[in-house]
Formats: sequence, C-alpha cells, structure tokens
Amino acid sequence: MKKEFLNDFEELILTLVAALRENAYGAAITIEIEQWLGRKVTLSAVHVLLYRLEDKGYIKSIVGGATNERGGRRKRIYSITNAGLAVLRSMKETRTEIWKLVPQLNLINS
Amino acid sequence: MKSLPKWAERLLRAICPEKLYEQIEGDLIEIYNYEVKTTGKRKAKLRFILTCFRFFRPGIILRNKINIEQNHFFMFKNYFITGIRHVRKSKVNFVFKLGGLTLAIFSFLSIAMYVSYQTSYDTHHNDYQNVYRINSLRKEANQVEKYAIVPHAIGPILKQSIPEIDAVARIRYAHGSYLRHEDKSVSCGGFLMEADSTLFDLLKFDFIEGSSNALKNPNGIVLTREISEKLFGTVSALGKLITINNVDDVFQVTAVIENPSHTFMGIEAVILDKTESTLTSIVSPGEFFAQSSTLFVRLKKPVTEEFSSKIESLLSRHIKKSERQEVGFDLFYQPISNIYLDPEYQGEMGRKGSATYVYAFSVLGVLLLMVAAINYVNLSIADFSSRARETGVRKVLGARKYQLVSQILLETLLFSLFALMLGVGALYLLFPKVTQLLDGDLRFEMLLDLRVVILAGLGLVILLFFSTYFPAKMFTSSGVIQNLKSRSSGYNSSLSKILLVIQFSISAICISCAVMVGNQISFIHNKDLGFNKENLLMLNMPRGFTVNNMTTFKHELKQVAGVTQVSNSSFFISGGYGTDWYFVEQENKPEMKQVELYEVFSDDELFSTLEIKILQGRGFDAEIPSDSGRAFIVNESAVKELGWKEPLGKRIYTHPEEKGKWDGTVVGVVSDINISPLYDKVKPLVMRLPWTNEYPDGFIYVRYTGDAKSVIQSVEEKYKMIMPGYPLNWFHVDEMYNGSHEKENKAYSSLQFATLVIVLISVLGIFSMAMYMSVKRMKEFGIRKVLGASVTQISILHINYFIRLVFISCAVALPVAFMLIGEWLSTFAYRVDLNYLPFLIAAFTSLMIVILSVSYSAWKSGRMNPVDVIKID
Repeated sequence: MKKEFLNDFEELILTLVAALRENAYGAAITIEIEQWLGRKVTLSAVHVLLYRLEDKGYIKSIVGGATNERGGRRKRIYSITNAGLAVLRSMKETRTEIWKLVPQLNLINS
Repeated sequence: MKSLPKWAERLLRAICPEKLYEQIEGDLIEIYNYEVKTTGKRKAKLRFILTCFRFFRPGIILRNKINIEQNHFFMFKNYFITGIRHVRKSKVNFVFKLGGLTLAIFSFLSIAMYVSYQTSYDTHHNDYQNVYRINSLRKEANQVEKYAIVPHAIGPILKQSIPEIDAVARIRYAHGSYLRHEDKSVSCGGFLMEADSTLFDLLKFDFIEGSSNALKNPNGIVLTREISEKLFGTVSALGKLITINNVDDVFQVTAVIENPSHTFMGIEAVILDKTESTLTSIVSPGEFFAQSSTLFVRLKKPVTEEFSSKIESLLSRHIKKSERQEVGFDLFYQPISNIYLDPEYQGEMGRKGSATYVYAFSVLGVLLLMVAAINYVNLSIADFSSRARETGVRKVLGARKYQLVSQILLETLLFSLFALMLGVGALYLLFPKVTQLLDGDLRFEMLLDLRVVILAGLGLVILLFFSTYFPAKMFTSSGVIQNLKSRSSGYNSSLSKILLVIQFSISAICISCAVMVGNQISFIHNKDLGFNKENLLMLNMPRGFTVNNMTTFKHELKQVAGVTQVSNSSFFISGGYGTDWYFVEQENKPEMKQVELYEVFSDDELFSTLEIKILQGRGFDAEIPSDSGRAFIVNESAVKELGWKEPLGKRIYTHPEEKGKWDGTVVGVVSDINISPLYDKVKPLVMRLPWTNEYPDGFIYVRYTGDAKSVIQSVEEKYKMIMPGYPLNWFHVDEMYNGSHEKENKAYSSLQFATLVIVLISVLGIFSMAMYMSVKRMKEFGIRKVLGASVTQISILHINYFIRLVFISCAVALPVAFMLIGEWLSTFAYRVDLNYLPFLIAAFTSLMIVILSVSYSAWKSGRMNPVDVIKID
C-alpha cells in the first residue's frame, strides 16, 4: 500500500500545529521554528505549506483572535485534523519500524 | 508598527488571495514586532521588506482564484446571438458597414504593400546599412551640381589608404549595346556595364547559374536571365561565347543572374572593367563625365567624423588645391538604401522612385483608413443607438461597464476580422489589377512582409480603438432609464456631425485633387510641344554607324511606301541634350560673351520632319555648302536668354581652337520644343549641321502616313540590308514622350481609384446615417406632417441637415486642396492654370452625392404615415 508521505518541513509544521494547539498560526509557527531549530524560515514559505496541508485535509483553520501586537489583524488559527494526526502517527511509526532494522551498535569508538 | 506601509499593502493585496490577506498582513506585523525586539529595528525592517517580496511565489500567487466564471462564456454566446439577430434585422446597414470596411482594408493593404516596397529598395544587400555610394559635388555655372559618379581612379585609392573600408566596387556603362552569339544578336537596352570583380561580393544578386566569382575571370560576362533566354533559349548559357557589337573580343558567359528588381540599379550584362585610369583633370565637365564611374563602398562601421576627415586629407593629397577650388570638388556619401527615393543626381544609372509620390500614397492610405474608421464609428454608434433598449435591459439585469465594452469590442473585432478576410480575399482576386495600377514588381507574398503586417496591424488597431471607444463611451455613460425609454437615445449628434464633416472634407479634397491632376495630365498629353509627335518614329542607330550607311539608309527609307519625311540628328526626345561653350555676339556691345548653351546637331530636314515652326529666317539648306559650320539656328528660349532683340545675323562661334571651323551667324529662330518631361523648362538651344564626315549620335526620325505596322516592317527590312544581324531599335515618339510621364499617369490612376473608394465609402456612410437620422426624427416629421407639412418640405428638412455639413466641410477642405495642388503643380515648369473650376466641381459633386444618398430616406420619411410613427410610446 502506498503510504501518505510528507517531506520533513511539512512534517515539522504539522507537528508544530499539533503541538501549539490554539496558538498555531503563521507568525507563531515561524518564530517557533526559529527558536526550536535555530533556523530562519520565511513567513511566505510557512504560509504556503500551511495552505497546502489544509488542502490535503491534514489541518483545518478558523479565523479569530486579533491582538494588539499584530495591528488588530485577526489570526488564522490552525488545528490538526484526525487525518493529519493519523498521517503524523503513521510516519512516526514507520520511522520507528525502520529504525529497529538498524543494527543497534553503541557509538563508543567510532 | 500598527499597519504596513502603503506600497507593501498594495503589493501584497495584488498578489495575495483576498481571503488570506488579512492574516498574512497580521503575521507580517507580528513578526516585525518580534524581530524589532530580538534583532533591532534596522535589521527587522530589512527582513520585513525581504519577507514581503518573498510572497512572490507560485504557492501564493497561484492560490488566487483566477475567476473563469462560466457566466462570461454564456454572455459571449449571448452577445453573439444578439449581434447576429441584429444583423438579420438590418441587413442593408450591415452590408454597407461591411462593404465600406472591406473596401478600406483592401485599399489600405494595397497601399501599405506599395509603400513598404518602395521604401525598402536595396535593403537586401548584406550589411546594407554600411554600404554607401560615394557621390561628388561640382560647381557649375555658380551652382553646386550633385553627381552620382566619382572619378574612376578614386575607388582603388580609397581602398588602399583607408582601413575602415571593407570593400569597394565600381560600375559604369561599357561601350557597346548588342550581344552576339553566332548569328543571333540581342540588344541590352543600354545597360551593358563594366564593373570591378568585387561588385558581386559587395552587392547581392540572385545567381541562377555561376557564382559571385563570375567576374574573376577577365573575359567573363554575366548576363541577366532575360538576355540569356533571348540568346540561348532554355539551354544553359554557362561557357557560351559572346561578342559585343562588331568587336572581335570574345567573352565567355560565367554567370546568369535574375533580372534585378528591388534595386535602383539597371543591369542587363556585366563585363570586367579592365581599364585602370589615373586621377586626371577634374576640371572639364566632359572629361570628368568620361573618366568617372559609380562607386560603392562597404564600411566596417557607419560613417564617422574621423572617416570624413581621412577622405578629406586623401583628396587634398591627390588633387591639386587650385583645381579643387576651381570646380568646388568634394565627395559625399549616400546610403545605398536611400538612393532610390532620393532626388536624381547627374550621371545616375537605373531606376529612380519618387519620394513625393510615396509620401502622397501614404497620406492617401491614412486618409482612406480615416474615412473608413469615421464611417464605421458613425454607423456603429447609430447601430448601437438603435439597440439602446437592449443596452438598457442589460444594465438593469446587472451588466457591468466592462461587460458592455466587451460586447462592443467583441462585435467590432469579429466584424473587422471578417472584413479583413474579405479584404485579403479581394486583394488576392484583384491582385493583377493592383500591380498594374501601383507597381508591377509587387508580389502577393509581400503581404506577409513584416513591415506590411506591422503597418496593417497598426492601422487595424487604431481603427478598432476608435470604433470601439466612441460607442462604448456613449453607452456606458448614458442613463438606464433613458436607454429603456426611447427607441434610440443617448446619441451624441455633435460628435457624428464632426465626424461627418471630416469625412466630407476628405472626400472633397480627394475629388478636387483628382480633377486637377487629371487636368494637368491631359495638359501634358495635349500640350503643343513645338513639334508634331503623332505618326513619328524614332530609330536609334548603334555606335559606329558610318556616314555612308546613314546616307544610304536615309535614301532607302525615303523609298518606303508611307514614309513622307526622314531626318537624322542628335535630337533625343524624352532624353536630354548635350551642352557646350559658345561665344556669342551681344546686343549693343562689341565684345563676345562666353555662354554655355545646349546644342543639337541635325541635318537640313529636321524642321520639316518634326514640323517645327521656323519663326524667323530660314532652316538649314543642303544646297548651300557653307551652311555646315557657318549657319546656326537658335530657339526662342536662347533668344530670350541671350537678350537679343534682332537675332538674325548675330555672330556666334564655338571651339576656337579649331580655327574658325565653327564660326558663323544665326540664320534662323525656331519655336521652343519640349523634348524632356514637362517638369523642365525648355533649354536655350543652338543647332548646327554636323561635321561633314562624322555623325555624333544617330537618331533617325521618320514621319509616316497610314499603317504604322507595315511601315515599321519595311523599315526593318531596309535596316537588315545595311546592318545584317543587328536588330533595329525603334520607338513611337508619342508613346515614348507619354512614357516619360509614367509616374504621373500611374499616380493619377491610383488617385482616381482611391478617390472613388473614398467617395464610395462616404456614400455608403451617408446613406446609412441618413436612414438612421430619419428614423430618429420620424416622430418630429410625423407631427410636422399632421400640422400640414408637405412631403417635399419634410424631405428638404431632412436633406438640409446634411447639406449644411457639406458647406462647412467644403469651407474647410477646399483651401487645403488648393494649397496641396499648388504645391504639386509647382514641380512642373509647364502646367495648367490653377483656377477655381475643380473646386467648384468638387463642391458640386459632394453636394450631389449627399443629395442622392440622402434622397431615399428623405423620400421615405416624407411618405410615412403619421399615425404609424406618432402612436409609438
């Protein structure tokens, strides 16, 4: 069976959406990525991926929550769907399965 | 930052989907604020700008819903259907509209082809922008004369000393006029040339056989296809041996080229130029002419200041300063592609076009298109006005402005495409006629020439623009209720009035020009030229035709039945004369004056053969031997020029170095004779008998009665007896003379055609406009009729509207036409007087046209039943 596949960036964002819960929106995700990975990503790249994930049905969005910080503009808050959660979980499991096949050697003297 | 800067907002709004914009904007602001805190204001701002621009990515832009609302397709279908229904309802209007547009496109395309062909002469040569002809300036009789030739020796000198010159090639007329192969001979019409072997490298000709190395063979000769076909038929000409005239030198055919057509150069056969002359005296005009050739150079880059100064220093090195100053000798460069349309210089070879006519034709084309556009605009405004209700309904049902515009645009577009197809089709069918009218070298494929396509495309776009803009503006800005209420409202009649005035003006200008040009043309054909050009043959004798031959031939010719008079002279009708310096006695002054006069050598029978009137004194007399060298005859212009009151008996002599050989008195005065086209004034002319044992140029004039064909046949037989193997060159003088005004004749017939088209389009337009106006005023007419107006009164009322416009436009157009025609006529030394008749004719014709085309609708509106029209509403 062909498995649903996400690339690493998509997976990262999907995970972040799941993790941030009611705080999952474009700017927050961008800042989180920067803080977690120490890697700068552009806002537009994050947005594009969010839209794509939404198209695929892994996340859904509602509009709401304007704050002063953002000049009174409302946020588009994303939350993960069951399908998204399933994909995330299956990807994680697949990876663990494959990981089990790797000879578990200790890295003592490389 | 509370909100984005204006530019960023505009940018993002343009590229981001509307649904997502607010969140994107918010995120941007938030990130900015966050970064201000973490990295500082400057960096944050930089990153902000960058981030904004990074939204230019397919993931964002393609997320925009590109609205292909299917509704549009349905609407297009609807426009199409309503359009077709409307056409069905008003077939006459449709046919007129289409006919006018088709006619205009047809004529515009022909003119575009002609103009693009005429302006692209000699652009087929490789690197033609850098190919120049080097011309020279000379001062003669205190006037700077431009020559298309330079001393023969200059070419190699330039090539040697100026590195910027890539290649040079010289070409000039060679001696001889007949090519002979075994017992066949063919005339190459004076276009036997001799040239450098580089000619074919520098300029491009189409080689049918052989290659551009043809002239590298010192005894090679290059023929054109026509000459080769005449000599060898369909057999390959390569390697065949040819002699020129009766000289023994043998030439071998090394190449055959297609007859050059899109170039100013006339060439029939080319041999290698083997003479190497040194730079001799440039003072004497005769020597300058004889030792000169046409010189082409190809430069490595366009002419620069430096190049000119190099040439200047070269000239001063090779030519004595005193000589240069004496004749004001200088060189100038002419790009090869300009030669055809530039004015004619002395010593020019080959074809010349006329820039004036090319411009005139362009203007005519633009006018034609303008008339067609105006007509179309007027008709479609009227057309759409009668559909005001449709527009109103569309507006009520929620049609946006752009939808109404797109409806009009769609109809106009379909319409003009249809007309374009018809126009091109008509052009294809009538193409032989068009080439006959404009230029025989045009080919139908030239329609796809880039320049023609651009010209035609531009014309069409302009036409489309105007014919969409006005109706569209009218409909989108008129009120809905107004649209719905009346049958035809929202119609701006002042605009249509202006347009009609312009249209009438253009047709009035064209009519008066056509009439006037026609007058001048018939004037040219019928002018008393000072001799009788009917029933007159001119025979052209080859070089080396001896005196004995001439005497026998003349004697033989007189025996031919139908020939009444024979004369030979150097008098060349529709060509020019030679000039020479004469010493003449002055009125009331003892010393002789030296003047340059035009001269003709003739025998004693010239005056009687050509029927030239002798005004004073007598003609030459063969019985008086001293007439040869002692008797001179001058024309009226010479008498005027020299200021003689009593011309007979005045002393005149020339060539004093021959010690009184040509020294005598004026024995007669003849009337002026026009032998060159009527642009030129008659030249002051002096005639004398030829040398007793030498004939300078052999033109024989034969006056005949009766059937020309049989006379020519017997003349040819006689000629064959004396010059076996030579074909006889003969011309009808009247045809030849009229041929020298070929440009005018062609221009006239094209102008006639264009005028006809313009008038026709106008008639179609006025007819439909009148119909429309009558419908619009029907209710008014109805009420008038009820109140007792008669049919004539109503008709006149209707017609008057248009007649007023005709008067206004005549007032505008006729002065313009007057100026234009005056300008054109001033190029002729002999012309008809500019009187008011053509303008009256033009005014009257346009009036008649208007009355005729309006009368139908006038009659119709006069005859209507008031009940039918008033009851509407």
